[in-house]
Formats: sequence, C-alpha cells, structure tokens
Amino acid sequence: MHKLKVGIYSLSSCEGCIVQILNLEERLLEVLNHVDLVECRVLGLKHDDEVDVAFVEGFVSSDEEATKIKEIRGRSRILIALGDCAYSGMRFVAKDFGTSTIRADPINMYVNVDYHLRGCPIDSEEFLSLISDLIHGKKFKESSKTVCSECILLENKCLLDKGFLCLGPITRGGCNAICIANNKGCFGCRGLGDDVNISAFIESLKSKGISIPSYLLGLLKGPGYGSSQNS
Amino acid sequence: MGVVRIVELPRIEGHLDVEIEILGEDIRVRAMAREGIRIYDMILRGREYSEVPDIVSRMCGVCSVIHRVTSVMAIESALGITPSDDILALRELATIGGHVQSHLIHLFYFILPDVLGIDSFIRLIDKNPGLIKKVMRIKGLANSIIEALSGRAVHPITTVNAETSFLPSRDKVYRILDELKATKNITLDISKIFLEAEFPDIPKEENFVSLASRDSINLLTGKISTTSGVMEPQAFLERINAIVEEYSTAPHFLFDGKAYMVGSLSRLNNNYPLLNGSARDLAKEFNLTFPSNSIFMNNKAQALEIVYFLERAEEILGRLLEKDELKLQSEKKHGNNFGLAATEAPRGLLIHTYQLENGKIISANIITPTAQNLKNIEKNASEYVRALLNNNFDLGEIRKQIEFLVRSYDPCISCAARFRKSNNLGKKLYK
Ligand code: SF4
Ligand code: SF4
Ligand code: SF4
Repeated sequence: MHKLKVGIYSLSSCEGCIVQILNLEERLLEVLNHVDLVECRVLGLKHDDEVDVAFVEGFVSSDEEATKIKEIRGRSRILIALGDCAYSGMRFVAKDFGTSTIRADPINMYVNVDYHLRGCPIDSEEFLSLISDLIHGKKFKESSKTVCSECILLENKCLLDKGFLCLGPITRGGCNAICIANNKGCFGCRGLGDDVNISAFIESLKSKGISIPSYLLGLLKGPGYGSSQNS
Repeated sequence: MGVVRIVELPRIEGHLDVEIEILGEDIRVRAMAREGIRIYDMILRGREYSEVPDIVSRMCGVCSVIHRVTSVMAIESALGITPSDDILALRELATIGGHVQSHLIHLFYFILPDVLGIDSFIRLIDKNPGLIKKVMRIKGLANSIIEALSGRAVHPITTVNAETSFLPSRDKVYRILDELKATKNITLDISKIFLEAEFPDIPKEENFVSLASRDSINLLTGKISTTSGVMEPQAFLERINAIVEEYSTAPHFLFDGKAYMVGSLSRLNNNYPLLNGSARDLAKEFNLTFPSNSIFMNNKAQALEIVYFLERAEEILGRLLEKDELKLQSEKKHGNNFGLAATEAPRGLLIHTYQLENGKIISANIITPTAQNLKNIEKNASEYVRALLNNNFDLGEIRKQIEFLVRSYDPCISCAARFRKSNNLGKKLYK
C-alpha cells in the first residue's frame, strides 16, 4: 500500500505543537512506520513537492506567510491546522478578542482547512487518532462534547463549586479535561464548543459569586477572526 | 564574492535567515529573525497578574517551563512573596526536566546530523534505531519530571506555588527516581557522542554572561556574572541596550556596548568548579577545559549539563523524599509592585520584569537568551567566514560551516521575536 506522504510546516508559532508530536517518542516511531515524513524544517527534511497530508502550526502574521500557506495548500491533498495559533490566531490563549493590535490571522482566512486539531498545545491522543483515521482513509471527527462533559465523566471535583473560574462549560472537549485533573480551571484553549451559551455561563458564574473576567464579555460578540470557522 | 542567504535555517527552533555578505575585505553576517511576533510585552498590559504565566509560557514550545517559572517568580517579587526553599527545589526540578529535553532536542535532532553528515535525525531509524530509542527514553524521562510537577511537558499547566496544594504522589516520584537510576549508563553513553566528537576550534568568544552560583549551578536565583564582575540583575539591566535592526524581528542586545554570549557554555565557563559527579569525571576523561572560547564547545557543555542536571534531579528528589512534609508556605512582605526575575533558560540568561498596579500589569519586559546572543552570532560568524576564506573554503562549504556555527548557539527565534519591521513596535519597546 502507498504510504501517506506527510509534511509538517510552521508559520508564526511557538513550535509547541511540533514538540508535542516529537514528545510521542516511541509512539512516533510507530507512526513513522506507517507514513512517510518528507518535509519538516526542524527535522532538516525538505521536499518542496506534493504531499498527501500537510500539518500546519502557527498563524499568518505577514504577506510572506500568507503566500507560504497558499503554496503549501496548493501541493497538499489534505491540510490540517494544528493548535490554537492556526485555528484562531491564538485568541483563545491570549484572550485577545475583537480587534487585535498585531496581525495574527487563522489560516482558514486564506485557505481551506480540512481538519482542525485544537488546543494549545494539541492533544497527543487526538493527534494519534486523526493519524489513524487518515491511514485508514476515514474522516476524522473532532469531539462534539464540551470539556465539562468530559470532566464530569472523570468524576473530578467541580472547581466552580469551589469558587474558582473554569471555562469548561463553554469549551470544546477532546483534551480529557487535563487542566482540571491538575487542579486548575480550564482557560478555554480549545475554543468554543458547539452551541454553547456564553450569557447563561456568565449568569451562572454570577450566581456562584465568581468574578467575571472582562474577556468573556468581549467573547459575547464573538472571538473576532477565529469565530464561526469550523471545517 | 557576493552574498549568500541561508533562508529559514533548518534544524533550529523558529525562523531565522542568515545572510553572509563578502565584499573584498569587508565581511558581514546578518542574523535576521523572520518570525512574526506572537507574545510581545504589550499584549500583557492590562492583564490580571494571574493570567501572565499561561500566556508567556506560549512564547516557546521548547522552553515553556522556564518562561512560566520566571514569570511567576517575577510576579512574586512584585508582590513581596519569597518562595520557600522546598518550593524553589520543586521548581528547579521542573526546570531541569525542561532543560534536559531542550538540550536533547538541540543536540540530537539539530546538531547530530552535522556531526554525522546526514540531513535528518530520522535517518537513524534505519541506521541506528538503538540510539534513537535511547535518546527517546531519556527525553521521555525528562518530560515525565515536568509532567509530575506541572501536569504537562509542553506548556505546563501549573507552577509549584503556595496556593497549589498539588504535589506529585510519592509513587510517581519513586518511579522517576527508579528510572533516573536505571538510565544512568544510557545518559552517559549518549552524552559521550558529543564529548568525543571533533568540532572546529574557533577561540573567538569572549564575553560570558550567566547567573553566578555558589553551591550548585544556579538556574532560578542569584546575581549575574559577567566578564566585568558579578552584579545585581537590576544593575545588569542598566548596562545592556537593545538595538532594533531593520532586518530582524528580534532585538539585538549589547552589554556595555559589546556583544556577549549566554547559554550552556557561559554557565560552565562561569561556574566550572561547581560541575561535579559524573559530569566532572567526563570532562576530565575527554580533556575538556573550561573556560573555553570556542562556540562549538557549547554543544559539549550541553552534553555535560544533561549528565549534571539528571544527577542533580536525583539528589533533589532524594532530599525531598527524606522530609516528612514539605514547606510550601511562602513568606509575604509588602511588595513594591515592581518585580524582576533573572533565571537560566536552557539557552541562557532570561529576564522578566513586570510593573503592577492594582493587581494588573502596566508594563512588562522579557529579555530572551537568543536576543542577547544575536549580535555575538553575527560577530563570530563574520570572523569565522574570514578564517574559512583564508583557508580557501568555497562558498558551499562556508555556508555549511556557518549553519553549524549558528546552530551551535542553539538559537530560539519564537522566543526572541518581539516586533515586525513594518511597524514601529520595536522602536516603541526599545527606544
Ligand atoms: S497552538 Fe500553542 S503550542 Fe501550538 S504553536 Fe501555537 S502557541 Fe505553540
Ligand atoms: S471543573 Fe470545570 S469542566 Fe469540570 S465540571 Fe466543573 S466547570 Fe465543568
Ligand atoms: S482543560 Fe481547557 S485549557 Fe486545559 S487543555 Fe482542555 S481546553 Fe485547554
């Protein structure tokens, strides 16, 4: 069987999503048994030709990078955006909703994105399940649950009940509520879940006496560039 | 002879172009950071101080631990909080995990191909799978230390502090300790690859800056050691200045008007007597002497540090396990709202400063190791080009050697990029 040709690219990013992939260690070797990694600057691999799958981390911060993402799209069959940088221009991490002072464009402002792996960094397990779907020629489906519903299944003690802020109720799951498992409220790095109700969430924070961070009010109007995009 | 432009230097963290211009006797090398800004000091303005660690950790995926820890320490200093010794020990452990994984990525994924004359580490999957597995095992161990203390290896979720009751379970700690012991020989084995490698010797480095140390190589606290003496971080800040170069999205720093070097080599040059244990033995075995003035020795210094740090982790863990209870309460006095922390990132001295008002950030300044190294990179690369030309190297070979030299500094451009040349943010931040 033809091995998938894979390229990994980065625009303006912290390269943490790539590091997350490298951190798979032996499981990465397993993946490399099944796919052919042909392009990746940090690993010294250069290809400049067609690939089956392009993984792109980072956002577009210049015309140069806009050209680069279009060029990559032009020679890849499937394009996958890695992390919150690529998904929203890092707005869900920086909480910089509305008009930003710097150019930080999500990549789907320029090209069609087949799949998003959200989060900052991406989740390793989710990455592996996407790879497995691609190898088997299946469509990948991201979690439709919120962080909150994953958290409840894990029977964590709810932080909201303890008076701490947690964005789990409005945030898209897929990370297994990892922050709450580490005793910290979710800060929403995976972006909004489907059909979440931010006003109702604000009301419930009020009723619990938790102070409302100002960015939540900004988010009511939508996150800005990264808002309604979803592939 | 003309201009050689290395576009997007492969095998480093972030996007850097290197331009070599040779006009007769006149040789200039430009280190041109190409990365767009992501976290800049202005984005932090107006934030609650509690939001800062989660944001600044995103400066860099390779050294997120130290950015997080440094921001917490700077904010604590603004609030008048002095963390207890046990808290500092736990933070040092997480930092060590971060440094070891960063050094391993640099040495094996970035530098080893130069040593072996191959394009990529992954070629070893067929040629030497045993080595790859050894490296991955030690890297996994380093990451597991971070995970035990902070929840996640890339962008740690928490920092050990007085408010977090979260501590790794004894089980986890024993597992890490067992693995540290079980992998000792593997660590020595893989480090020797660099200790015995033949590197070019270009004795051009002169200004070494790092934290000054007393008992062990300091990573989180202390004064700053420079060629002009040891000084308080604040005094050091007053003597450096940032130059905004048209061609670079990262500032270039000078100390007393001169280029200087931060990183592993500076740490060992300034603190060599403190290097102990197996790392010390290895240095002797391979006849390595410090101080050294050759940048290629930075790779060997990192290899020695991997051994030193992992032994240090074992020592700290052993010491903490002997205690019945850890003291996690910090002392709190009245802070004056200005906080500074100077630490050692994997790539060298890192400084964060924050000015607070009513719990919010009104100004922030982050001085990264790579920004401090850029001028030095340019200076030493120019001299290296001259030496290579005198020895009749052709442009292709010169290009390869300069790539190797720049890589040996272990530059990290994601961290260093602070502005876009098309706007005047650089001028605003660094007058
Ligand atoms: S999404 Fe997060 S981890 Fe990934 S590149 Fe962006 S800042 Fe780094
Ligand atoms: S801790 Fe957060 S994610 Fe978990 S149940 Fe409570 S609100 Fe939901
Ligand atoms: S819990 Fe929230 S902040 Fe943490 S990884 Fe999941 S989505 Fe991101």
